[in-house]
Amino acid sequence: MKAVIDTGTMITFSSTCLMNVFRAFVKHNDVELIVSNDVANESVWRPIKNKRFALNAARIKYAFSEKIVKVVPPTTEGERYEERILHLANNSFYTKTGPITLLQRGEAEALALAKIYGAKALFIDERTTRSLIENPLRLKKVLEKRQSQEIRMNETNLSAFREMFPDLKMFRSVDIIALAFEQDLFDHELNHSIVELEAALWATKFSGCAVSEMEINDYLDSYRRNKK
Amino acid sequence: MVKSMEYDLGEVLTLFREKRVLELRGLSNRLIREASAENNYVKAELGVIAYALHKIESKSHFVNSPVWGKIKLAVFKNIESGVFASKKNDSELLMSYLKKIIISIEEADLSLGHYASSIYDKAKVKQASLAYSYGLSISQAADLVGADKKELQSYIGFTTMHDEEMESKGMRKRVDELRILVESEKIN
Repeated sequence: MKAVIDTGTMITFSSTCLMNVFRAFVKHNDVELIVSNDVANESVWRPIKNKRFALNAARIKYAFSEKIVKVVPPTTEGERYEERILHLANNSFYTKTGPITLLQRGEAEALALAKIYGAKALFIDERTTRSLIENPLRLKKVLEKRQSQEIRMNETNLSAFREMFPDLKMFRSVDIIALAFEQDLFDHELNHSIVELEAALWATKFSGCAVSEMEINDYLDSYRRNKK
Repeated sequence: MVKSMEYDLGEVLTLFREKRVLELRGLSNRLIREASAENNYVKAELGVIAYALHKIESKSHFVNSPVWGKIKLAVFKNIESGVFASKKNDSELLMSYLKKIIISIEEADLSLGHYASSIYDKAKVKQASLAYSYGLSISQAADLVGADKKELQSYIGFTTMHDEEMESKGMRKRVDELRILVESEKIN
């Protein structure tokens, strides 16, 4: 399966020391994982010069050298898609003063790669990109609640944006970790028990993955129920 | 109603002069909210400055230091010059004064700060998390205030932000979908 991974998700795996679980997941499921040059720069080549982030960056660098993740160079086609994605996404929601710039090049690049390579999945931890594709009405509600003002949607742009990714599914690092556990892939790093699973999910949440406490608890309850 | 930069700079100057620290923080939050809605980088910068000034003014070892007293005068002067640039609608000139204020904050932090990471860098991450809470993506929120994306992601992880809005699709459903997807792709 072809999949694209965003910088944030790479960082979550490296900062929680769950790169081995991730590696096992990728190999076990024959995932062909792609990242852009910019993601490589953002997750490895820039932070490796910063003492605070160098170890995390080195872990990701190792995944690149082990060919767990393939870095692809930028293309003209990719840049064209990026521009279109940015234009549509950033002209889909309006306040009284004008359009809200929601996405930046980083997210647009991941989406463009998914489009070009026909990826089935995008691994992304942050919620705005996910909401734009999966549930823009939810995003509208969030924007209205947070910004305390009415938000208008440009349905034409939004539809055109979503139509670019009709079959793209999105998953977070917590979803990958949970499936890796269900597939018995924790032994590359941790013991296979619910204690380790819970610890890994919480570590991922604290690393910034957009998942709620309720979601984690609901998932763990459903896992326990199914085991009985 | 979105306020003009001239008005906002005047507000920062008044609140900072009168040591109305909590109001300075509230003003910073308003500036970030408006900057997020308008994609206004100058306003975002002023929002971070207001937050950093509030932070400094709430630390006694800064407030009681003659070093800060001296630097503060330079900050006042540059905010006033910023108001002047804003009146002239010269955003390049305005940015140059804002940069001078940032240099002053960094200078004070270097002399008096106790932490390895600077007050200004922490202010950027804090206010970027606010921009993220207003609905921007992580990259866009980080970019708006010039924060480090990794620091922002890690900061957000320790907030309750992701507990406040329900996901449309829960974890159980996503995990099942992921399993189906990888298994069907293996067969194909």
